[in-house]
Amino acid sequence: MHRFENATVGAAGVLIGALVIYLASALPPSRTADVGPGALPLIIGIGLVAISIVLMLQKQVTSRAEPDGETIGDQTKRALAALATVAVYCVAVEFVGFFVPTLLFAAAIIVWMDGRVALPRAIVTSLVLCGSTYLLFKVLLDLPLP
Amino acid sequence: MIEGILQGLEVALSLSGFLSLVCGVVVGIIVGVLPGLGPVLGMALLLPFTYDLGAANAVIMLLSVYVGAEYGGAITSILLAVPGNAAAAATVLDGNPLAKQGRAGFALEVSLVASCIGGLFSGFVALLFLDSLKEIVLTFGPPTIFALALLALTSIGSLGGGSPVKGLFAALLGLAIATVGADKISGMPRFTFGISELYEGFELVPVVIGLFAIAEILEMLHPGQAARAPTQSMFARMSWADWKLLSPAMLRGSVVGTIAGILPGMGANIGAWLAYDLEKRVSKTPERFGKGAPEGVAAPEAANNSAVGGALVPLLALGLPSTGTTAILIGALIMHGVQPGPRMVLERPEVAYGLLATVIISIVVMYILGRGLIPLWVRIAMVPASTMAAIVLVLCVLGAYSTRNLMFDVWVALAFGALGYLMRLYKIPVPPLILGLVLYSIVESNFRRSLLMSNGNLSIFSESVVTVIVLAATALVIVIPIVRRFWPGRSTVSKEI
Repeated sequence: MHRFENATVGAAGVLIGALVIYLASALPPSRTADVGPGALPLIIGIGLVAISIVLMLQKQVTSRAEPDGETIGDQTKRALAALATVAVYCVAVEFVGFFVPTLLFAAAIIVWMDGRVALPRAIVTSLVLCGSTYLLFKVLLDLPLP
Repeated sequence: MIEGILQGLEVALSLSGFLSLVCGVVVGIIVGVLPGLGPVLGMALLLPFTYDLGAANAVIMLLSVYVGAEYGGAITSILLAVPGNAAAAATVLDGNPLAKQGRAGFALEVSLVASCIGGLFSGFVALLFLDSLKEIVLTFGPPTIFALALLALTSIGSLGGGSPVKGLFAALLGLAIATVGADKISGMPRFTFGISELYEGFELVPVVIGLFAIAEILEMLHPGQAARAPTQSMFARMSWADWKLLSPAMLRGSVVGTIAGILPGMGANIGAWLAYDLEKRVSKTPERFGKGAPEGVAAPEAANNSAVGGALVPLLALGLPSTGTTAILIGALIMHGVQPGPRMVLERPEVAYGLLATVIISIVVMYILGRGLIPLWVRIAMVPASTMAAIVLVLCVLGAYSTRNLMFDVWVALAFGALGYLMRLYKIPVPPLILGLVLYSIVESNFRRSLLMSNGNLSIFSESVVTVIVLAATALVIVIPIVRRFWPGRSTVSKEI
């Protein structure tokens, strides 16, 4: 996997750069002395494609030392699981409101990382977190919460 | 002038003035600590409470919020890798590694001292050289600011973390992301795909929260394997050796920050990044940066606080806002019947010099409050990693949401969290991306304004001596490393190009 790190990043860069070039070319040119809204994005897109190709051609000199013998695939899977958890929390906040999802989410994260032994600490932390957030945002600063 | 300064000090040190100042600093530190709530929001929140205060006390309170918030932003940057505001993002790079090494107290002390020195420096510079600086402000038109922004972009080489190609890749990615949003000149929507929330482009705070804090947590979340929080030393005082090492960094950061504060559109965000870059460039051991170098905390913190005094120069000298915070101050002045501009110093000296005196006195108050709170902040760094992860994630969601009170910004933070994680995985440096994101609108708007001014003639960039000098300096910064690379026996370039 290590050998393809630069190639992967470079390929992604070429795709993004090509998209920027395509979208920038579609913007109408200016009729005044101004270069128009598409000029600089076009230059950036071309630059991104060029530098991505250089990156793809570059030799992979260093290799990544993985913690616990994990591959990039393992790490990505773990991060995706974490990201999905946070996304579920955000969806819950959007539809249910801030407090109940936060109480459950904060406690769940602590128990997930430390095991069931940490349940009392998880409950106290989530209660204190919700309480202090309410005091600071709603009472003290009069700001809306999600 | 002396009379004006004395009048200003008298107002700022009167009982009502001093109470307004202390109240402002406290609110400033609170909004600075809370992610997403920067000085602009803090000042906007306090604005309604200043209706019944006189003009002088009102602006004293608001300016103190600005001063306090610029310092407060560093606290969560150091402890949690969550920048309290956009100007504290550069502090994460070395502040958080110091906290992870058990030196959170020391990092907080460095940030407090640097913030104080930066604030005092710019306060005194603005107070003593207001008239001369006015002339400088007037010489900086769009061509010069474009040239300066180009010079700032060359920092990418130093922020690239040993691989200029990857640094440039990240910067171009940042520039590409910054193109999203309505075009500043024509108002035409650009790459917004009909999403109204994207018309103003990506807000910096959710992006920074995602790239730094959420990416860090994604790496940290590991079922059953929570890392232990580092034992923190409660000893926080800087030693003589630390002073010797950090004083030049603080001074350089103060100068950079003051200039960034004076220049329209630059401000504390860019000042902090430029100061960090400069410090890394002048360091004999640049490899320590990003791993807990105290200079990496001292320089950006001095810069973001010194931008406060710098930002007052165009406000007092010309009545122009150079940042969002000074725009609110101008609003408050007008609300109280004071017309900002060159005549303000003559007609309302107690307000004009009161503002400058406030910068200096609020720094002293900030130091006393900040020093007393360091042991409390250090205890936060000793919280178990799992508890920290839960708190940080909730703060990230709140911080991103509070930027515009939109859940859209929370999703933006999450998306940038995923991007930040991938960048870490593939060893792509994050700072150049943020620099590209921050500088794009300055580069584009000033380049296009210059061309509009000259009817499309590029010679406008050679009309001012300052612009020519800055452009020449930019060219030198780019060319010198290339020449060195091919100079026999002097190559110090890394293996990865």
